Amino acid sequence: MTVTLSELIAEILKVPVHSVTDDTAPGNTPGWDSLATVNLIAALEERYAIQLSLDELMELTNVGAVRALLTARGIAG
Amino acid sequence: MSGGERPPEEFAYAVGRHVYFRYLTEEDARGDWHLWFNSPSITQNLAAQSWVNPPESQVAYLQGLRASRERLAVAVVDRATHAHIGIGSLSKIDALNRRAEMSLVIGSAAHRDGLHAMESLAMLTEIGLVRLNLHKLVATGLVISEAGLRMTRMLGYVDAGCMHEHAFVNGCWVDCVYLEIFQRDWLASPRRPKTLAWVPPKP
Repeated sequence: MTVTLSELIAEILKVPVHSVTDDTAPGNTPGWDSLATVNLIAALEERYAIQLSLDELMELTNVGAVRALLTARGIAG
Repeated sequence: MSGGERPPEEFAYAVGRHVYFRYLTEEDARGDWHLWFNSPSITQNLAAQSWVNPPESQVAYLQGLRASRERLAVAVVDRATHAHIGIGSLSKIDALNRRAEMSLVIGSAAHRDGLHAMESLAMLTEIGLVRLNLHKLVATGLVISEAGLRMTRMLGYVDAGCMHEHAFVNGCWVDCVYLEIFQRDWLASPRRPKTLAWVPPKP
């Protein structure tokens, strides 16, 4: 079964998948702390077999930015 | 120097996407900085835990810093708000053996989103291994500081040892992990910042 990006992020943030939107960000999501960010980076790199540069990591400010990064990498999230 | 004198962002010591580093002031010492080191939520994650920390102690520490060539400490500032959010340092700088110990505290809870810390750690590593041309940096972290340890490893630091039962936190002995990174590995790392220079914001 394919897990969508929203489902992946919902699992990391421990929130219902329907609450994950492109605007979901650390500033508006209590569970999105530094450990969640580390878990997100690790999950993205493992699931999509990619290594993100520091510049790319620094752009991951919300779910929309994660989706945009994957699109730029030619990955459908 | 009294407080209130701070360099504009373009004269900062190093500038990233989310944070910049500048020198520390007495205003910082009397402000949030000394409070962070009175907070158990912060000090319990430090391998070196402190006693009570009044502003006078923080000012005295700052004065010691200014006279030291063995320790480089900077204020970590949020670029969006110019708020002082943490402290980064390279300590035990050994010019002969070209090594130092890197450490970071993000004191502002509102900025513990991972991005501010990871960028700060990368910038400190770049300063140590490139600007100061050190051969090796080391870092330590208690095993209960999971995010900090994993973030440091993500930058390329590797485990070099463990100091068992190193800190007594909330009634339990906690191990402390010792990590290191060499200049040759950092220079080839994709986690290096492209620049530490100030770049004008896009209009």
